[in-house]
Amino acid sequence: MNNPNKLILPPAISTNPPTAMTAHNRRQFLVGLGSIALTAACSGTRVANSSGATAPGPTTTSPVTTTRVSAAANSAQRTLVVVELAGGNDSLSTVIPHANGRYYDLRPTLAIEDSLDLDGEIGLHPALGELSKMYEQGQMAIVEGVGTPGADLSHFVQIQRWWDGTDQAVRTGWLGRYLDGTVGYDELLAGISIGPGPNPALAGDASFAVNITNATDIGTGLPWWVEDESSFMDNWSSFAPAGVDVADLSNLERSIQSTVQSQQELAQRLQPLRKEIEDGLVPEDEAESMTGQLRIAAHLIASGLGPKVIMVHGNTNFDTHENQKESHDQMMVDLNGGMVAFNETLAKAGMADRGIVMTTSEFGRRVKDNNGGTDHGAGSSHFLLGANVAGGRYGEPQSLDELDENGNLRWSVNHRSLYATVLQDWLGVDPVDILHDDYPVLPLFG
Amino acid sequence: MIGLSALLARSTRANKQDQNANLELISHVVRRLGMGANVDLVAEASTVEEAIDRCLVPAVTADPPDITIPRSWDTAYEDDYAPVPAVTAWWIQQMAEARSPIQERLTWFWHDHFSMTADKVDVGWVVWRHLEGLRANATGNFRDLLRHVSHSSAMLVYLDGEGNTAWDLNENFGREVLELYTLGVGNYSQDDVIAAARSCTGYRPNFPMEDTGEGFEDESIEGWSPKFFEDDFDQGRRTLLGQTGVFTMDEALDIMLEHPATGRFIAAKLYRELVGLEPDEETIDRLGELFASDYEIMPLVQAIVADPAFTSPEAVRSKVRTPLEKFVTIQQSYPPEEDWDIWDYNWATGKAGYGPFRAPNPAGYKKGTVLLGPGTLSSSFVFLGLVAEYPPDLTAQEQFARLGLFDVSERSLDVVSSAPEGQGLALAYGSPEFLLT
Repeated sequence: MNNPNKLILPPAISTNPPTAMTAHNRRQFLVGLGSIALTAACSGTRVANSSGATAPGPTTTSPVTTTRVSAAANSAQRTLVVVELAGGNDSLSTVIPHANGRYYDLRPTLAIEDSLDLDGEIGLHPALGELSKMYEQGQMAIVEGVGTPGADLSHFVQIQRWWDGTDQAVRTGWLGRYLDGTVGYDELLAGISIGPGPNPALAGDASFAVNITNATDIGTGLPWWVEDESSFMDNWSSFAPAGVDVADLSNLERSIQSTVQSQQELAQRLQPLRKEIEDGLVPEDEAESMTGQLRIAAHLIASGLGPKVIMVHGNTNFDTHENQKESHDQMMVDLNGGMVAFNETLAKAGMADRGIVMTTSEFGRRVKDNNGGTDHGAGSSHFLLGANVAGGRYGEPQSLDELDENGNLRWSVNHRSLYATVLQDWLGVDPVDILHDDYPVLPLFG
Repeated sequence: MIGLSALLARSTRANKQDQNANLELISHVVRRLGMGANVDLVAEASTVEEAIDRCLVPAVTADPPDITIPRSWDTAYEDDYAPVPAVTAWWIQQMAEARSPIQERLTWFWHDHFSMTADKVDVGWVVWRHLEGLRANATGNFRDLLRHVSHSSAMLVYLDGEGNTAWDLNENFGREVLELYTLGVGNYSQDDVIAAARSCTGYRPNFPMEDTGEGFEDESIEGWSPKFFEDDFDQGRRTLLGQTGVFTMDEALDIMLEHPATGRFIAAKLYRELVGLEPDEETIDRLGELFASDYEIMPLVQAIVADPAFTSPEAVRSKVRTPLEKFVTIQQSYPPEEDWDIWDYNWATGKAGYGPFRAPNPAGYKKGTVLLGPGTLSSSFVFLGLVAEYPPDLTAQEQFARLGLFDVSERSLDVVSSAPEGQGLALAYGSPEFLLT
């Protein structure tokens, strides 16, 4: 069993090239978290925000006042985009220990020989050119050896743990609790799930999470005989009694009301993207991929909407028990395309400092391949990407010699440490209120 | 809509409130034991008992969908092939027709339980063979059902059994059969997963190939039946749930069925499906023991239906109506004059994120309050497109009754009755009452 409280080591190798320190992301405000807490408090916060005290845990080598996050001075302008690599991403085909001979022994059919070298030790999957560029620019943090206490090899148990983000029995997700405690019902589009259905990580007790599948299909698809969609939407929302505080509506009434309001707002916010699709600049079926989903996420940020959290999920299957080479390669192309779309869209809007992207996945995969595929694993590597991120390698490189009893990678960083880090240093709230325990914060924002 | 006027006559009698409560309860029975809210069935039954009897009629054998056996895997996608949406549309029509409502309810329940997606095996014939076995065994014996699913080509592809050999073990099916199909999580170890996977080695769908000479070239059912390859079977001894031996797949499944967790796990799940409430421990013990005695499915259904909780006020509208249940209901309430074609069915269920053979993952379809999110809520209106003509002008009460709703709030009646022409049906469809079942 791994020790969840094990100390997090500083980045194994300092790879923060000077070129990354542009004037822009070097600006250091003395914001602290106090002013953020105040902003949140004014909008009716229920989570006790951090009062600017130094972060918990023994690893906070970086005082809050030096975080790069300050470049996006106002927490209201920051968006966390989480990309869920559902099914269990094979991190050994994503962050490749190309200098380790054991890797080739253990992966006779799946070893990747042409990875994009980062530091002579590890390389990225050859399709991840954009991520490699971001790494060189100091905009990509790779956290190695991420895992979950009490690890199980079940998809459903594990993904539930990632959604829950706590040891306590809950019926909410970690991002849902963040929304409950900050914006509550005050901001309809603070939490957005982009995928085939709502993502459970966004499930809250007292907040909304809106789900969209693509940019063009936001309307209800009402039949022709309804005639006037906007009049229908008004009438539909009248199932929720007027003049009643949103918190006092029944679940059903609130669902109807938020659906009507969010449809209208989303249609307007995504109009530029809809135009691009209409003009053939973006393929219409792109939303069925991570590339399309990340483009939508970027457009929502670029529209000035200011969503707090966006979950991108559900359009890919990383559960590569068979034919892994072909399917995983394709998903890497897709992920890379998503980051290209994300970066281009934000750069064009001059909002590169407003969004960060973080990956999640229920587990990594078995180290030894099963002749074409890999079974469920344990430890994995994850990314944090964006202009405000302090690039480099974090956690501990995963040993290919000392595997666990099932032949899986061991882990050293509890996935809740990733959550604690983005909650505190990006979203500006006290992680303990959301995660119900004190997890070491990683210095991923410098 | 033979039943509607009779229903309304009943619901507007002097003791209107009692009548509506009774109709709502009958409709509840119809909704839970079938897949829609068939108002003809509601109208036919004057008591709850009659409705239950009607819904529990034995399963029927329907004429199969109009699909053909492809010549080979390689040519399965040619122009004349029978696509998966043909099976999907056929199935949804069976749900709406509801000749045996309980067969439709249970077939869907088992499809959700043994969920699979055709994404990896997009051939109508293979999917039909899978569904055919689900339908035939839905109200039969769980052991037969489990065996059918485990040997089904669709499942061998979906959970990678085809690649599971003594030389290269693939744990996917071995894990899910323990976690999702039989014992439930927490009742087995990783060693059991490996033992289960080893016992299930050697089966391949063996799809006929055109050019390689592999498999069969005749256009026969046998040519599309999975085969056991003894050379790939793991001959070593293993210990599964405390028993040691060289088990075959069927023997391993039997060992799983012997475990006391299995009866309880399935019984509790079916109770939630039909009653819509959480069973207490005593109920799980009682139903689990009954079910595990011989794994006959209908006695378990009878026991659940006989539980006073099934028709208790708490059970009525205690579940969120799924997009598929909405679709079936609208087909029953407004039988389409011109059927949608198979691609319309495919498109609409896809848009609503609830297509048969398109389960999001092996744990099945989304249920409960997640279905009240704005995306799902708004996309479910797509099924109203099945009503091709301008809908008839009905009173608010008639609008709701036609959708199988009788106990409706004054507020909802007001919203629908003050709607402009053309919106009444869509508003009743979008009402808080219709969101639940």
